[in-house]
Amino acid sequence: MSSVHQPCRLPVVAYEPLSVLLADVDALRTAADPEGSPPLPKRFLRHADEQSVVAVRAVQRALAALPAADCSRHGVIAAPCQAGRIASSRTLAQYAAGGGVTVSTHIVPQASLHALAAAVSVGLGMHGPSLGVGGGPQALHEGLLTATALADTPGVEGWWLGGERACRRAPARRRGAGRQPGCDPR
Amino acid sequence: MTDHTPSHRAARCPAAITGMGMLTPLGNDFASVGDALMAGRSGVREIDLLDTSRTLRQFAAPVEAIPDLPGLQPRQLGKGDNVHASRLERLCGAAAVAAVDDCGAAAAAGRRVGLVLGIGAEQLKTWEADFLAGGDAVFSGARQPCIAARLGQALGLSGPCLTVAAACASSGYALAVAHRWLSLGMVDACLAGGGDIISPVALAAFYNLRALSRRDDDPVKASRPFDTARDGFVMGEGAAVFMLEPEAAARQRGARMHGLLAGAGMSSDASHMVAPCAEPAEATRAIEMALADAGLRPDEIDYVNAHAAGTPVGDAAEALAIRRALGAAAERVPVSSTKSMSGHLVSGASAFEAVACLAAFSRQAIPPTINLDDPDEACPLNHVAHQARPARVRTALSNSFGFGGSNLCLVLKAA
Repeated sequence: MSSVHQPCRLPVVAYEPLSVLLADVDALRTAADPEGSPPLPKRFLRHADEQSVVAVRAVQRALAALPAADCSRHGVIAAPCQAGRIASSRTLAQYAAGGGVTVSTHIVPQASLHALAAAVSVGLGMHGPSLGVGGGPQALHEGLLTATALADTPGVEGWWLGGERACRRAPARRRGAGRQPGCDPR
Repeated sequence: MTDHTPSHRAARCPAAITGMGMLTPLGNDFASVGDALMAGRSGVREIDLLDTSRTLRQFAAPVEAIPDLPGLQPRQLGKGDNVHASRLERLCGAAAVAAVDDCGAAAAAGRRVGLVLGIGAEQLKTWEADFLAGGDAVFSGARQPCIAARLGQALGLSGPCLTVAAACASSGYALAVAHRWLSLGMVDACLAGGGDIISPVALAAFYNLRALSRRDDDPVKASRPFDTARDGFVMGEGAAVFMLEPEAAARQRGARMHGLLAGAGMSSDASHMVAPCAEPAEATRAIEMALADAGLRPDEIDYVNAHAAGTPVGDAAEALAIRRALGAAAERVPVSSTKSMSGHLVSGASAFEAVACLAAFSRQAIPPTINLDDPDEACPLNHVAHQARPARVRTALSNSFGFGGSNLCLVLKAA
């Protein structure tokens, strides 16, 4: 047995670029599922991070173009940039004002680095590995590097790799001003 | 289509663990942690290192002290007179430096060494620490490299450095990715592991989720995996980082090996963003895949370090998954949850529990599940309760199951 495995080729069979302004993300939460895509559980995106909303909708659109695809054995690698920043800013401001009782139960599952990948897996019924990668400015490159490593995972029939060019720097704001930071998920 | 079912696939070449470093509630070196695990000593206590006045929780399993790191400049957080170094970065950095020292710094020199850290909520914790010290990074959104990238630079690593996140399975995924990098020849050696810290907001979030034990009157008894009276987990913190390299290369240079990372299996429940799936088909599959990746049969496993955090649904589902995956061998294979002593290290749990498996190899004994006074009938396993059990331990399975339905199982072998 060789100690070095050969990397396998990864043909890209579907992709979907989706550019959304922050102001339009809420409409995406409640939008109808694209025709031909797996439906989401009811109100699934209600508490999802903005980047998760965009990612789930992008994968749904890509799947709609592959109507015969069974994604139940797909894996997800998501490489968001500063995911969860809006929810974190809100949570921290509330915590400063009211203490631990104000902390949302959604902050950890919906605003951590893995949340975007988990939202795609859970929302669309994908049982392959699901993980977040990076989180910083080089996130998408790191996602590709991780996908290369995990490509030959047994039982996984396809991978969704997502990255987001988000977090356009917003003007500095004062603490406690009650405003949210800018974010431009693309 | 290529048949990827586990039974048709050759086992992956093991990765040798030639160095390890750790900072944990049970000690900051392998000997101390091994002693604590085998003595059934709890690391849970009332918290005094945090200002908990604003949180509802008053106990956890903290790391006693994080050493300063000569040569490393951890990120500074906060504003004014309240600036301090990132605790999470210092924690992971100290473990990584200790792992390099343990394998012999010369062994890393001149080689392409990578770094994979499993940290589930690095930015959340960093924003929180900065905010609580008067900073406004969460509002400004300034882009900064992740801890893995900064540590890689500080340690002079020439291989890829990145962070992976899969909730409580994060550091297990880090080990799996590093193992794959070695298999593909992308690195000569790789530091891999992960860590997490207790923070006021995280503590409050888990409490509000009703995921934490509320046994306020007796913290040491609060973490009780598989027990009928379990009511949630106890939060812990800590980091463990390993130096991995191909077994053949390690043997060739005569390196001391703590053990072997033999395989990993991973899957997702795709069931719920928080709650574990009571029907553990995917957890079972992750265990089966890990065994296949390692080229082992269920009856060749000597010990199972369970994820079992002490949550009512999660422990029962895992017990069922273990029984299904191991079949008849489940009657014989001893099982314990070291979270009963360490608390739940969240992102760092998988790496810490790999340390526990290595301790079982070196001590030839199974660490116990403490506080297991009344094993739940819904968790019918060969429990090692209260006291360590001497045993021949050459192989171990370590489970990690996290939020979002992440299932990650590792198989380790004695060297």
